[in-house]
Amino acid sequence: MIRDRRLRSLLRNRAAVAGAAVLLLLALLAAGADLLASHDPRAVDLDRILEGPSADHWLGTDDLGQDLLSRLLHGARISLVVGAVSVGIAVLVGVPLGAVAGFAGGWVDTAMMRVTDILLAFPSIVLAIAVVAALGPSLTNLMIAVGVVAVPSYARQVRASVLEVKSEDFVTASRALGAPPARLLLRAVLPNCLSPLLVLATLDYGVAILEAAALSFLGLGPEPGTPEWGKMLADAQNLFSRAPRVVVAPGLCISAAVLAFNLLGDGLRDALDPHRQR
Amino acid sequence: MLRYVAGRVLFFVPVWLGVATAVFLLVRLSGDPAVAVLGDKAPPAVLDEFRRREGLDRPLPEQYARFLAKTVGGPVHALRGGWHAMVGEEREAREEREKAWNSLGRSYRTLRPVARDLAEAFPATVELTILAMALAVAFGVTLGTLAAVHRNGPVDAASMFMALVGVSVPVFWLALLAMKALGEGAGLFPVGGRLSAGTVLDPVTGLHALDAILRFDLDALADAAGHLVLPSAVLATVPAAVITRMTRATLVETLGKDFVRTARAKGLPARSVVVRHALRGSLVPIVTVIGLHFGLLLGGAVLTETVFGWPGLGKYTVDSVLRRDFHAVQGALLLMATTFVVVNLAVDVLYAFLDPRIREGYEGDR
Repeated sequence: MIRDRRLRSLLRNRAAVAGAAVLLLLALLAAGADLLASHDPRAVDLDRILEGPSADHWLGTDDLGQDLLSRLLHGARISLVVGAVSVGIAVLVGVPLGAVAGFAGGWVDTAMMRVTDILLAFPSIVLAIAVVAALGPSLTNLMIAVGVVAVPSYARQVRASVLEVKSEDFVTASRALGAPPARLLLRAVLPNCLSPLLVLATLDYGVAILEAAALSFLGLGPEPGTPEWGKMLADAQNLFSRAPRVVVAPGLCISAAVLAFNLLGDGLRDALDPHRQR
Repeated sequence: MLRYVAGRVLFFVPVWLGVATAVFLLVRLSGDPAVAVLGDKAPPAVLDEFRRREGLDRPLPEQYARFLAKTVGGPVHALRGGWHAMVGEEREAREEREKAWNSLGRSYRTLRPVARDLAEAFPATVELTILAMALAVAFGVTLGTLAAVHRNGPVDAASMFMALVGVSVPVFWLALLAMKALGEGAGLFPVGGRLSAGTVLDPVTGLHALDAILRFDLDALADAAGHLVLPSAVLATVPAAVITRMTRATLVETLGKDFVRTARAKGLPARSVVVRHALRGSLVPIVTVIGLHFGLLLGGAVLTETVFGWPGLGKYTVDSVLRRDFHAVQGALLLMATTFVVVNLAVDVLYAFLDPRIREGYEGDR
């Protein structure tokens, strides 16, 4: 029997469970890509280009004779890692900034919020393009760009939660008992700000995958030949009339992964916030 | 009301200064423009000459001051040019206009003043985004209303699922599929650029569809509209999805309020209760979302324009960033962020018209 009310409510939400199941499957496929893939994702075979599905190549081959399914499996690994690292960067930078702004208040808060206002005036994809262009295109810089661009949203979210929790009675009580500010923030305030952060991070994981694929599609990602979904789409774009599946398949993978994160994120939000009206 | 609007407009100044500063720093941080333009094999003397000519050898604060003065000077010169033209001083007018065009520097890629490039690219993006937003609002508000009225039924589930798919599908993939399958494959719509090669249209506003109407040119109108269909439909997907969800959420809340119950109790027909009472009461949050997602639309335009070869601001930005054409990057980013800030300002002012509580500074429950 599941005791936790929030977990129970999450498990009752079929859409969220479906999202979680897809993500679990995707994670397993990504982790086992080396074992599951029937071919080396970079093995070029020019005698067998653009072949249709067969027993040897379940989803057929691309214009270099590379096995499409093997490339998609390895692409899952890249996308999940890129998403995780980007979200990690955004959390590690955004949470402390937001927490300090909300907790300290005054000019620190005002200054930080004006800076986020300004950064939010640029479309995030444009900022990310500028960051990658500055650092040079590579998979690492791609993750940095996608992560850095998301920092303002995390800072704002955490600041809002901190402001809300800060005025609660138990924080006042703790302060009255003489808890130093750092301890107050870390032990009393922040742990109570985690729910909205979890929701944001889940939804943002999907956004990060989308943005990374977009940058990679524009040629600002990993080097040519890497089995990354966005890159695969860019390389295959002129093959649509001859073999639509090499264009359709990577896009479907990106959509499925992002959709799964969105389903789970929405479910988490409903489960963690009892006041929300359905 | 006037005080509120004046306050918002005044607030625009520091925000815009912040945006301009961010653009300036972003461009300086992204590596040495001299190397970017001339290549890393250029001899040091040539690089130094380039830096000297562009003022890049000056201290950063001085560069910043010059950048601001030139940027703000652009519109000032344009206005002066207009004044000189009005009083018939042709030569002065020409000089002032020349200065205005050169205020954002010259692109190393197109070899034209950046302001001229932007003046051509911007209307293309405005045309695309306005049409996309109109599609998104029409689709999103309708679907969201249907979902709210039939809450928890199959219509609701279907629209919510569609909305979720809308935000999950990569825009550039959708653009690619639409272009390849419906454009090049089935030949339903012309793709690539804004007009077909044979179509000639004398610009009035720069919005091709509107220009064609103003010139009574039906062939050009059909051509311009045909080119617009696929890009604007693709670009509309994300905002349509967001507006659907927002409309549903707001309307569900409003439909439970007392004034709606009163309207129902009066015996008003259901349609009138929903459309005339509840939907109007939900306008403020919906307008907020529309305003907030204008930035999203500009971001989506970057990808949509690149795939469709639409010569707008988004494509210009990407091309400039990829070629590290620093004056062009600076100008394009500045225009993009300025547009966003101005749209937000317009949304703020629009609120005040829609919701009297805001303009009276009422801070109660909103």
